[in-house]
Amino acid sequence: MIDFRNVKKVYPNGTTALDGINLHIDDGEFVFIVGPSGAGKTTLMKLLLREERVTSGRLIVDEFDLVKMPERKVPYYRRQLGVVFQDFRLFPNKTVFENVAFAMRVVGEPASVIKKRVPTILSIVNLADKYNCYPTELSGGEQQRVALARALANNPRMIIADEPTGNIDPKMSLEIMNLLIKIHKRNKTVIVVTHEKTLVDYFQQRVVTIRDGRIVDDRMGGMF
Amino acid sequence: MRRYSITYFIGQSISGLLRNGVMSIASITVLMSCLIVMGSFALLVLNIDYNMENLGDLNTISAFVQTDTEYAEGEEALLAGALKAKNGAEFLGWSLDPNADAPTYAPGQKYTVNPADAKNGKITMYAIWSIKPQTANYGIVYDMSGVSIEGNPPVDNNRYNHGDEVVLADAPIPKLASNNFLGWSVVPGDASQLMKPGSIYKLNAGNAVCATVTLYAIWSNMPVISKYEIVYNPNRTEIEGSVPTQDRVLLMNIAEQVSKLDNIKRVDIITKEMALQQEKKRYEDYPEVIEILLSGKNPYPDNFLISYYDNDKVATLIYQLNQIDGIYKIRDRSDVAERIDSLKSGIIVVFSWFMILLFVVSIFIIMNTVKLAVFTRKQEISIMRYVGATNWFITLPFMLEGVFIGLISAGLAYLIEWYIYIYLQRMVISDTLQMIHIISFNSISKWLLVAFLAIGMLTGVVGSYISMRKYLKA
Repeated sequence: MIDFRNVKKVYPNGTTALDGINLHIDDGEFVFIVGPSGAGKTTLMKLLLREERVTSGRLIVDEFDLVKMPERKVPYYRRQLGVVFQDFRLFPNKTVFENVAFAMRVVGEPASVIKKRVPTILSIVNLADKYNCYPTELSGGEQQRVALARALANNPRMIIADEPTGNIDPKMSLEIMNLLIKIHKRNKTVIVVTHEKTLVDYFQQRVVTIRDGRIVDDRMGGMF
Repeated sequence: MRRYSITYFIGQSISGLLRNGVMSIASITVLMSCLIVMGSFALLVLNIDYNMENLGDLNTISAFVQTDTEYAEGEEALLAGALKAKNGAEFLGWSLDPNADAPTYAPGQKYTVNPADAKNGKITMYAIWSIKPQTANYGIVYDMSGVSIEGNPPVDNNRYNHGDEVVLADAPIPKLASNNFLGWSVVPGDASQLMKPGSIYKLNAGNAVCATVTLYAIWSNMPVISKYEIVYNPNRTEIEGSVPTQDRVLLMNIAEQVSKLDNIKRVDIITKEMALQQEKKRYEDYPEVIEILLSGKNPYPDNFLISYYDNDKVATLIYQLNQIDGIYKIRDRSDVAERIDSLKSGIIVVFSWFMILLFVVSIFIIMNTVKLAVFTRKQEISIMRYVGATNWFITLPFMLEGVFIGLISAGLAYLIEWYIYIYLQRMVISDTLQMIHIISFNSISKWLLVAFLAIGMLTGVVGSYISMRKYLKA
């Protein structure tokens, strides 16, 4: 459950990125967040990841109050989220297996658990046979699937994908989106920030449109 | 259960060190130099202290005392304090008469020398006790009447009763051949009732003083007496400790006055006998020197070794000591103490500034090394943050990197310091007279290593913490 209540974000330089955001996302929902560049999509993401703090208003994610949360609790909050970026952000000097395993090592998962769980996750994203490759040896779509596997590694409640198809050719994009839908069907909340009209229109899910820092449209099966 | 593998952190920090290459070497070199300089200064100061200890306490004054305790007529002499009897009798005071019931002089009182009280130049002060000692039988003492003789005066350890026959001792041989021994007499200087050596003397209790009959030697040339000695006699009572001598009385009196002064830490009496013993020991290997020392009178004066606290007030102390009767010469080492103190504090000031400078440089360089390491792994760090890594998980490898820099520097600095120190030690020992003593490296090596490792690690941790601090924000 995500609850934005009258959220406002003003950056130190005076730019108002978001103003009067009221948004409620239930557990297990699939939401597209769309809008032109500079509309405030990225800021919304940053607030959700607790990379930036809310200037005013309330932001609650499950039992976490992101406004009141002290700095030291942030890592534990982030373990509830799986994040996917446009530029993948994989370790180039680690194999696919190690990239996924790393996320588990960070939270102190024992080696025996890591060994068992990583192949399972890699098979979900159809990369079981590429576990020993380095990211540079993979295509863009494959790299994004590794990133997705890493996002799933710690069994998060929610996946946040920021332009996951931005650097990938259209055919692969569809595959990534299919994977996200597959994950959504495993009862996880999925939030996808994108501006790819065709994909949004194709999948017919809840669409939230942001423009100039405000939500201008929010509907099921919406169009861009 | 969650578990973090320590090998991960160590591996990360070592690979960080290797990746930073030149910067790591630079920080290790600078920190190492810093530790070497610190160690050298510390060893220098330690050695100065050590050598000062060998020089002895420099905050001391030697005060020499004239203890020529022979008095002319009319001079005042301080009498000894109370004695302690073994039989529990209470000490009342001193008297010239051994059989007196009450003392004439209280302990520590002054006595004006009167030749009429003297026998053969000796004024005997008898201890007067609350329990009167019982007269047992009589002893015999021979008195040379102030004439130097060859060998020791005769001794008779037998005890006699009234009327017993005593065989008198053989004639003593005077050092001056021109003086002739005439005979023994029970009255000092009285040549009218002479007894021949070897003849029989019928012991007469009337001649005895304090259960002792003294037989005085009568010479053809009797020495002229102008100065009188004061001796103490416990008066047939066994006492605790030794019988006081007038020298001792005087010394104790001066010691008491000295210890009442300000700025006094400790007063040691070195009597002339002790001084002679010390010199004898010092010249053990030169018997001819000892022979010279032993012939004739003891050339050493009695001496007080006075230790004091504050070198700044030494002038006052010397003035006050000069006011005390009996002290005739003072020798102090305050100038040496002052010079060494100022040398040491100078070294410490230079050392401290140097240290601060080098530590700042070390910390700065380690900061930069770690900053570089952080910078090259900026993306990794941001990924770690997104997957929920805690601060310590992210910073630990960098802190360890600082610690490793510190430990490697400390180890190298220790080895170099060791080599230099032993080299210098060998040079000093072979090249100089053994005036300078050097502490052996083994006796300080443990402390030096611990200090190096601790300071190295601390510098590493502080350096990396400072450069990591801004990345600790989520």
